[in-house]
Amino acid sequence: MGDHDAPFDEPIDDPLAESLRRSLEPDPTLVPSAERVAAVRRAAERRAAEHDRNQNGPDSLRNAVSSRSLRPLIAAAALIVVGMFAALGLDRGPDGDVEYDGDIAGPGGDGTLRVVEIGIGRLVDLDTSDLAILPTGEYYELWFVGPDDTPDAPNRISAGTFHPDADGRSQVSFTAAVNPELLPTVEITAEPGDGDPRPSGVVVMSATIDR
Amino acid sequence: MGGSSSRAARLDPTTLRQVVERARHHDPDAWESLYRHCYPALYAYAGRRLSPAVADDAVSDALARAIERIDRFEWRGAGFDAWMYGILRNVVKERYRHVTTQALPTDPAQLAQGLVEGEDASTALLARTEAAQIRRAFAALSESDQDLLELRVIAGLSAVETGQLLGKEAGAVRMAQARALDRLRAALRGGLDG
Repeated sequence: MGDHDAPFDEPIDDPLAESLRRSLEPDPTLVPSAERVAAVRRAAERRAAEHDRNQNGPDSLRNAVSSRSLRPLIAAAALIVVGMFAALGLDRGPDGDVEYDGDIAGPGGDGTLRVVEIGIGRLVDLDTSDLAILPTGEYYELWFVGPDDTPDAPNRISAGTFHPDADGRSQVSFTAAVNPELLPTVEITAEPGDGDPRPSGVVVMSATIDR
Repeated sequence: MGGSSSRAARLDPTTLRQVVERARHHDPDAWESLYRHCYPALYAYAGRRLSPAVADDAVSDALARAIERIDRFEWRGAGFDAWMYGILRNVVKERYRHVTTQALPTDPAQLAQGLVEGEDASTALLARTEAAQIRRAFAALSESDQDLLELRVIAGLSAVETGQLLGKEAGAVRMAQARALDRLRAALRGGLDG
């Protein structure tokens, strides 16, 4: 049922593919039951109501904040908070310098990545709900990659491997003895679980730590 | 479980885009249209892995998840249909991996059900028998071969779109699809020989 404006791809030159397509073709007249359609409509209505609530919440707050009488008070409070953070060194994060706190993206989807310098190396936090569940035995691996990395002359360090959880979420933390100044690219690869420790080359997400 | 009706509705690409944009604003009519648009293909995909009632549950779950995540859908790479396949594939793997699939019909009497006697009926029975053999051989393939052929051949996704869903590059998808078809051919030969 591919969209017709999908990227062009050559037809599969194998008569068995056509026989398979005919054998497994869905019945186009199938429709969901009225009860299930009603449930989907209710879910959309609930989502619309939540969206409206979220829209109204911040707007009300913005309106309150824009009130002239509150502005001096808010400015003073902001100064106090900034001063407290500076005094406690919290701009460095709880354990050290935040070297990257932003998006990680690629053909597998997108998510957020945070890299913090700690005493023993770097603490890496990844959060995404986009990665596909891989077949049993396959897994994802997070790498720090340096310049001129090639399969024959690798210049990379693995920070660890992971699977999305039962809800399809990958919320994982790794510690890695790496220096992002030397290995500034973070890559997530899909690995086939074939026992070969080298990367598969299938990069599903990446980010660059540009300090 | 699904049933027949004249309200089954595939949307053309232009209309699909318009409906998806309305669905972003959580318009219930738009979501109903998308549900009807996707249902036959998604139900067929789930139905090959799960019993009919559970397959319907899985498609409903996929729609519920799509409603939650529509803000994140973008018209780049894989289109809306491929996005829905990706969601359903994850739902089936996450929630229903321990549920058994339905048995495929093998009995000639079952295959001949609904056919009227005569030459056309013989031709139709032959076609049904061949289709049943292919479905059995397909069901005997590994999960990853089935997934790949389902997306490439049956859903009609491009190698790039399929790669995005399976975490593979387009070239690897094309190679894997050729090998999967070879294995299907071998399974058919085995079935016919046996």
